[in-house]
Amino acid sequence: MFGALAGTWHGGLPSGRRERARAGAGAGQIWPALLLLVVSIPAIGLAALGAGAGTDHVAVVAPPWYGPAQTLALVDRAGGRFVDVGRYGNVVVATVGEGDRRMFLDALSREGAWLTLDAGSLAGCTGR
Amino acid sequence: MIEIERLRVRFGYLLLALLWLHLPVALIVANAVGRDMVAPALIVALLAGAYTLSWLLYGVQPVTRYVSAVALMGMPSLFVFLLAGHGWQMDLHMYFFASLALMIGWCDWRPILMAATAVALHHLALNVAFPAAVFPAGQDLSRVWLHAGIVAFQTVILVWICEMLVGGFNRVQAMSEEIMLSNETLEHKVEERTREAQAANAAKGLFLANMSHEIRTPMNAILGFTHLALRGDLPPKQFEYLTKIRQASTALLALINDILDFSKIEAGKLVLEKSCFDIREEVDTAIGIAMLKATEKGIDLRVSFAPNVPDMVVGDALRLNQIVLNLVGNAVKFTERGEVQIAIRRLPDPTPSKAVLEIAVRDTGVGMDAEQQANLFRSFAQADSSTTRKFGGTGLGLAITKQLVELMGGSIGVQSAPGLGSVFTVSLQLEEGSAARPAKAFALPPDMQGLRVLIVDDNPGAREILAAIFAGWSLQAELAASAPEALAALEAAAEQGSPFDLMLVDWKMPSVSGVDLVRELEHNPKLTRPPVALMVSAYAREDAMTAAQDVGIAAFLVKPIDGGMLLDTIVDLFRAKEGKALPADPPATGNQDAVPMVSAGVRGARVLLVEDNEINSEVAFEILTDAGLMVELAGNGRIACEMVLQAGRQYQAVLMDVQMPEMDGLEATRRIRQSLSSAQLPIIAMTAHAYERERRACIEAGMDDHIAKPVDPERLIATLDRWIGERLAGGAATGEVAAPAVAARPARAPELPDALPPFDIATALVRVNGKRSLLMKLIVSFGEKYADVVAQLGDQIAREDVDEARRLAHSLKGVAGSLELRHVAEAARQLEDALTHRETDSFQIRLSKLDQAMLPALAAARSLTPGSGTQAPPAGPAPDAAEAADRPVLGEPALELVTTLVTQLERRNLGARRTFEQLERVVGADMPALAPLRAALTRLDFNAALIVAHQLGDATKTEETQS
Repeated sequence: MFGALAGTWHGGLPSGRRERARAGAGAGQIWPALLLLVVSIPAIGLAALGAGAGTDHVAVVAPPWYGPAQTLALVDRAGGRFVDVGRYGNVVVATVGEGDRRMFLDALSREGAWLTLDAGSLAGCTGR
Repeated sequence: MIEIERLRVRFGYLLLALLWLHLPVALIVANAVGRDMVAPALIVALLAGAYTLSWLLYGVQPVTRYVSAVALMGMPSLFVFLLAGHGWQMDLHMYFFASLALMIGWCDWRPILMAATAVALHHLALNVAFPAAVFPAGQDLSRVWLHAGIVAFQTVILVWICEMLVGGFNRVQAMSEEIMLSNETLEHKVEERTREAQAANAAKGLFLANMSHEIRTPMNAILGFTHLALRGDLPPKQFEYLTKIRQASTALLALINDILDFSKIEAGKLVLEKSCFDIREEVDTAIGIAMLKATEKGIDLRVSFAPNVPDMVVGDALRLNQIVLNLVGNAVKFTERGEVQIAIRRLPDPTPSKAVLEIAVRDTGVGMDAEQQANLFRSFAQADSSTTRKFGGTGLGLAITKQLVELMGGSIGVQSAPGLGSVFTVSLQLEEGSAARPAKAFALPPDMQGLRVLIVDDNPGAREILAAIFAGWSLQAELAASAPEALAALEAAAEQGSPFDLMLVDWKMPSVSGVDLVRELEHNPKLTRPPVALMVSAYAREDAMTAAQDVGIAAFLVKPIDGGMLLDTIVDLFRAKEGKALPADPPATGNQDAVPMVSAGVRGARVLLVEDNEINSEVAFEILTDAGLMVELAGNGRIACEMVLQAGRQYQAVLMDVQMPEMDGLEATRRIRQSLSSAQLPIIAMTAHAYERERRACIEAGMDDHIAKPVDPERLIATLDRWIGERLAGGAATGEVAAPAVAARPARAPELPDALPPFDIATALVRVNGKRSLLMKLIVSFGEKYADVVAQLGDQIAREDVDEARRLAHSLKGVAGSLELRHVAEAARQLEDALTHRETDSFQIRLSKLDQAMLPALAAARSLTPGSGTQAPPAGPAPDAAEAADRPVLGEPALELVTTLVTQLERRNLGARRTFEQLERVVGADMPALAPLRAALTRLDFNAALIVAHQLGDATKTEETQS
């Protein structure tokens, strides 16, 4: 199917159309790529950084109006232990220790956490 | 599609496959590191799907290239973060560099930059933005900057390479376009050159046709007058000179024909005819021609046909004849002693109707080395090209032969060695003819089936051929290789009581010749009944024939032996012997200068000769009248139409020139054909055009046959004989035909002074073979026809009718030249040149010069005109005093006709003949007084006819006055 479509679209592209495409190869044609970029970066970020069953330290992101006390209380209610504070009051790093990590993540979500990220992965490709 | 686009399309396919390949890999990796597999799979599908959609919608346009850059850079990013904390995470960075490098496949620097940007944004987002949002401490970005530096460096390098690549492609494209343009230009040039070449070829063809016409016209005069001259009683020297002129002219004509043939074949204009013919007859005809030379050189010429050769084949007999004649002629030419053998056999062919014949001509001549053989079939090349070569020729013969053979779907080859002779082998594709060979050639009469035949010849080949001929008649001949052997065989047969009836004996044999053998037989007591002796020899020499006749040899046949001729001879001999018929004289050698005559039934037939050239007209007139025909003349097509259509179909045939002023022969024929069909009046083209298309044009115009100039008298007469004979046989004969034309010949020649300046009478007489009457007629005719030529030319020039004037000047030049009026001819030539080149300034000067030259000529011509006072020779068979006394008195109607006749004769109007016929009907055709008038009119001697007509009229008036 691809071959046939490719034959239609690729091999037989009229020269006039090709010329127009070449002439308009500037700003207009870049938008789809930029849109894909804008969509794909957060998607990759979330997919790659999201905490999973193997996550030891979880960066818990609570709603923005939460203060440190409320965030810590949320972690506590979920059965976790505080490890470190984050940049903002609604972010803390927590762990469940030897407990069930999957259940911990579910509990965090239940208690009102917006995001649970793998704190280890947040070191990025720098390998910190 | 240009090359770079092709490359991009292929790269588009590669990326499509590559991006979707990440899906299973991502699943495997996610599973391996214990991560959720759905999200990575969805992200891969998003990236690959976005590219696929763009690729489907926009092909390989920049939009797809940009999308591909983002999609491809997303993949390593995904894998790097999926493997976070894994030992391979850092190693996977190499995949970023590899993917970035892959972008060069688009041959476009912009997707490379887009990819680099995507890499940077991925790292900024995932290494800086996300961690910074979570952790209060700043990130260690030194490694990020290192990576960024490497990516930037790689990007610059890639952009540079990409630009070079694109530049290279552009240059290749430019060169390709240049080559294409150059090719197109070249194609146009080739087309143009082809057109020019075709035009040049057409011009060459036209030139050849014109040259052919121009050459053949004087050739006609040369051959025609030579033919006429050779008929008379000539002193030996003159006879020899004329014979040599004829030989040279014939050779020249053959050369012209060769050149024309060659050019026709080269131009692809030669069309082979397809007719059923007897192959043996054709080959024998060709060999018969070569035999003359072979006999002169003492070369034996032998021909043998294999039994599988069909009797009748379908093909072009003329061209086959030409091929055989060329090969045999060459063989004879290059052979000093020995023999030339021609062997014809049929080669096997899967198609039964096809007859593939092989003709092998073997000679014992000088032979050729390999180099000479290689050049043999090239045009204008001869085996010996040195200026001191022994053998002449144009070198066209074998080239033409080769082309003809190839046209017939065959091939030609040669085997030869210096001093050992040559063998030329030709294969030809013909078709087997359906018509059976005439039975006469095969069947011996039943009463001769029991003949006992002895063949005596020292040459085994000759014996074999003769034996094969007899075997074909179911006669088993016995063979003897020498005279003693033959004598022994004859004696033995006589003793056994079964003597031989016929002996074929060769003339030249070792020790005892054929003549001596026959002489000895006469005196041999043992032979009570010697056989009928028939001598066979390759030497058609007078002494051999005389010797044969002296010893009582019954017949003399010249090799190569034609089976039919041999059969006829044998039948004649034995019938004569039995007292049934026919003398047994040896066949006399034909006198080629004998006057060709039409057959008895055709004599007296009336033929209209339409010819504008006076010389040609005179030649044809002489030949035709000598052949027993009554000839009337027309100077162009218009006159011919008038004469034919007004004459009420009184002609039995028309001989029509093609190129004539006023109305050409083709148009005239078309007009005549509107009233008279071919069955009613055959029209035969007689033209110097030798091209096939000219012949076709004549036939298409309605003519029935075509005779090429120079006219071969025998062929001309034979053609007329056939056409008129057919017509008469078809019941169209008229009473006029019975009148023998020969009776109309003048009894005595008119007088012409020995000197008549400015005419060079002596030289002019040579031109007309000493016929004083003819010359006188021509001079008188010149005086009348060209009396006002200068005024006519002046008028034409004044009317700016230069072409007509040029034609008239040309005609005058020709006639003056023939009559040895050199000043007039020269002046006419100069005027013609001036007219041809449109030198208007010199017209009057030339005309004045011509006028000066013409004056004495016209005066001299007028002096010959009867009644001029200066000289009044009896230009025709003027009646003497006794005849005058017996001259009858004519009645009123007859007198009126005589008056009309006089007027017509004065105007040289050919209608005079019809008036005369009416006169004959009125007074009776048997009136003696009309005989001289009839004779004068028959030969178109208007001057003589005028005298007689005047005398007729005057006698009646005198009588009336006296009474």
